[in-house]
Parts: sequence; C-alpha cells; structure tokens
Amino acid sequence: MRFADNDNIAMLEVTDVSGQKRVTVDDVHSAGTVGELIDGLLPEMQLTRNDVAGRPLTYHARLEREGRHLHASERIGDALRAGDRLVLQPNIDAGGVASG
Amino acid sequence: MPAKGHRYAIHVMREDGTSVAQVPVEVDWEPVREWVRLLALGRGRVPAEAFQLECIIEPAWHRSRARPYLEGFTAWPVDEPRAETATSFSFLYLSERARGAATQLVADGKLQEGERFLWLPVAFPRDTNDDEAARPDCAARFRSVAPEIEPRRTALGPMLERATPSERGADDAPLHVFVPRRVLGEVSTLGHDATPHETGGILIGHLHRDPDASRLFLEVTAHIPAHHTEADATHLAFTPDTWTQVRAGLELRARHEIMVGWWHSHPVREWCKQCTLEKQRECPFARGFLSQHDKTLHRTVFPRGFSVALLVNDVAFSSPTYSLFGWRHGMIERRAFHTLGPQPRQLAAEAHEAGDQP
Repeated sequence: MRFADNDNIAMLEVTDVSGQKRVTVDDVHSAGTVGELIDGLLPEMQLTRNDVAGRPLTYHARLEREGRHLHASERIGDALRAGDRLVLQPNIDAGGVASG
Repeated sequence: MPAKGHRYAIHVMREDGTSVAQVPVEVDWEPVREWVRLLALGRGRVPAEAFQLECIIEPAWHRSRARPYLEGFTAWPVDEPRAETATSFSFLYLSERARGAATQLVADGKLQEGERFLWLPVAFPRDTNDDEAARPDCAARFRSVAPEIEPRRTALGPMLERATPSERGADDAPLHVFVPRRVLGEVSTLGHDATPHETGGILIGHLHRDPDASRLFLEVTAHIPAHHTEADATHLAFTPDTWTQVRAGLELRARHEIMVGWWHSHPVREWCKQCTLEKQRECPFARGFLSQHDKTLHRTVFPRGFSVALLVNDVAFSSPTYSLFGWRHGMIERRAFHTLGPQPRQLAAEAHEAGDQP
C-alpha cells in the first residue's frame, strides 16, 4: 500500500543495534524521507551523531519486515507500513593507534 | 529536563594561569544518565523504571575558585531524593571536550601546537532552551520504551568461589564481571589469526542480581565474531551488515542473552615489529588501551552502564594479554574482571578429546 503525501503512519518501533534503546514513533509523515526520520530519531535515542574527528556517523535503518537496509532518500510512505520495526545500525570504526 | 539549566564552556589557561579563551561546548550527558540508572537498578529499582529514569544534573562548583568554575557535577534520579541518591562526577568527564577546545584554539592561533595548558570547565545559567531549538523538525511523535533487560536472580557467592580475579584484583565498581576462559581463548586465537589486521566481535551474556546482597553482576556467556567488517592494522569498521549478522546469531542461540559489550584485537606484534622484544615489552602499545575511536564506538553502541569492552593484545614477547574496560561515573576506564572455567591447558585437552583440535 502506498500512503498519500498527507497521510501519517502509525506506530513504528525503532531500536538501536543492541536492542537496549527502543522508541515508538507515531504520526510519521509519509511524505518525509527515511533520512529525515533517522535525523529525528538520533536525539530521541541519545545516539551519537559524530565520530571523534567530528565527522557525521552514518546510520542505516534496517527494515525487519523485508530484511533490507532502507536508503536515506526513500519516501517513508513508499517504504514503511504501520507497525514496522526498524533497527538503526551505525557504520562505525574502532582502532586508531595514534589517538590511543 | 536535566542539565538544561546551564550552558558549559572550557576555560583554557596557560601554565602561568593567564587566560587563553573560554570555548563553549555541548556536553553529552547520556553516560552520566546511564550511570545513575545503573546505580538505581543496583538499589533495587525495577528495570523498566531504572532504564528509563530521567536525571537532574547540576554543576558542583569549584571549592577554591567558586562560580563559574566546576570541580564536577552531581546527578540523581528526578523522582528520588537528592540527599540519598546523588552521585558525584569529576570535571574530567569533560576531558575530551577540553581536548577538542585546545585543538580549536591551536587552529585559531591562540595556542601553539604542543603547548602545555591548564583547563577547567565553567557553567553559566542558560537563557533559552537551546537543546530543543537545535532538534530537527520531524513532525513525528516519539515515545521511549523500556528495554527488555531483566536481571536474573543468581547467587553471587558461588560465582565468586569458582572464579579467578584478573590481575587487577578486586574492584569497587558496582558490578562484578565474569568472563569464561573459553571466550578469552577463542578471541585470542581469532586475534592472532587476524594479525596483521585488527578483528573483533560482540560479547553476549546476562545481567544478574544477587537476591540476598541485592548486588548486580555481569556474566559474559559467549562472543559472536564480527563478519562484514573492514579492517587493517590500525582500523576496524563495524558495518551495518556486521550488526545484522550479530543480531541473527543472537536470535539463533535463543538463550535470552543480551549484547553486553564488544571485543577487538590489537595486533601489537605487527605494530612493533621494527623494535626489539625488549623495547616491545616497554612500549605503551603493549599495555591495553582504548583509542578515541574505540571509546566512540563504546559510547555509540554500548552506552548502558553495565557494558564492557574486552581488548586482546597480540604481542610478540608473551602469550596474548587481556584488558577489560567499562563505565565508571560516566567515563570509560580499565576495570577488573573474573575468569570462569577450566585453565587453558585443560581447555586444550578437552578440545583434543572432542576432536576439534586443529
């Protein structure tokens, strides 16, 4: 089902990768993008935005229903359904001898 | 909302005490909140409440310099009396912000590269709610949900009796950590095999509460090696596919374990191969450390106060060494742990009998 631009999607559940930070999201505007949704989720879930050099961390939203990572540019109304579960997964570095 | 009553800055001074500048900083309060939540859980608050607690965070003014200088912070749960539950946090909580401030001042030409400096945090009343203003305009409504973390009721005494303390001995952290020797053996083998590259994985296990002493402790039960990583000698990237694979592994085990931390290797024998063994023994790299990238990963993925980071150092002059790091008063510090299970020699014999010895 494709949501119209003025529709809102009810009740998504979003977790971090550990499953220990969980939020529900209601009234998600279907015309928005997945990237905008992720931007709104990061402060709500107290997730860090930047790496040690101040560069933005990249988070991907994995849609559990389809087992795939959503593109940031995907329209929410096209990609998501009410009740969907998302997992925010960072692309994040460990290591770095010089800064140790 | 806690800690919004003040804005913070780092006051940088030269060694003679003359002022260089005050650099405004945004403070990440989540590790403070998580520490307060862990202490509340330890006091017996039910997990659904404890892991959702909001905190009040106030500056602790410097005793000799007074306002606006800080010697730290005080934090307590918003629904508990300050007198009984307030916890102190050192001004060193802002060390990384101070480092960033100094870097900025060097870039601005106000500090020389390599110049020694002094710093103290300062706080001033905040006029407006800047935090809310800075949030992206996302029309959705968000509601935080309690995580499904329920400490198991397990007696601590018998665990301690069959465990061996790590080299760092006893620890006054609010929770003991137990790691099976089997896990240490497996990660050291993986680390050694991956050299000259770094490698890593996720630690899984259970949070326990001793029913008599009301004491929390953490038990690592296993690890899941991280695949789909990008690695070289000084770098290990956990990609989105890594997390998908780890979560699938956790579900497949179906033992109600949670992610309790992560591990990674330092291929020190590769880093230090140009040096003599004698020099390698004295090298700072041979002592376990977490880099700033490591700390950022820990903060991003494992902010809960009980989470740990295990480091295996693959060194040329001895068998691998292990260091465990965890949260303490909002900062990531090296900490003690206990090992469980048979000694390595006994493990090797068991593996041989089982026919899986390489």
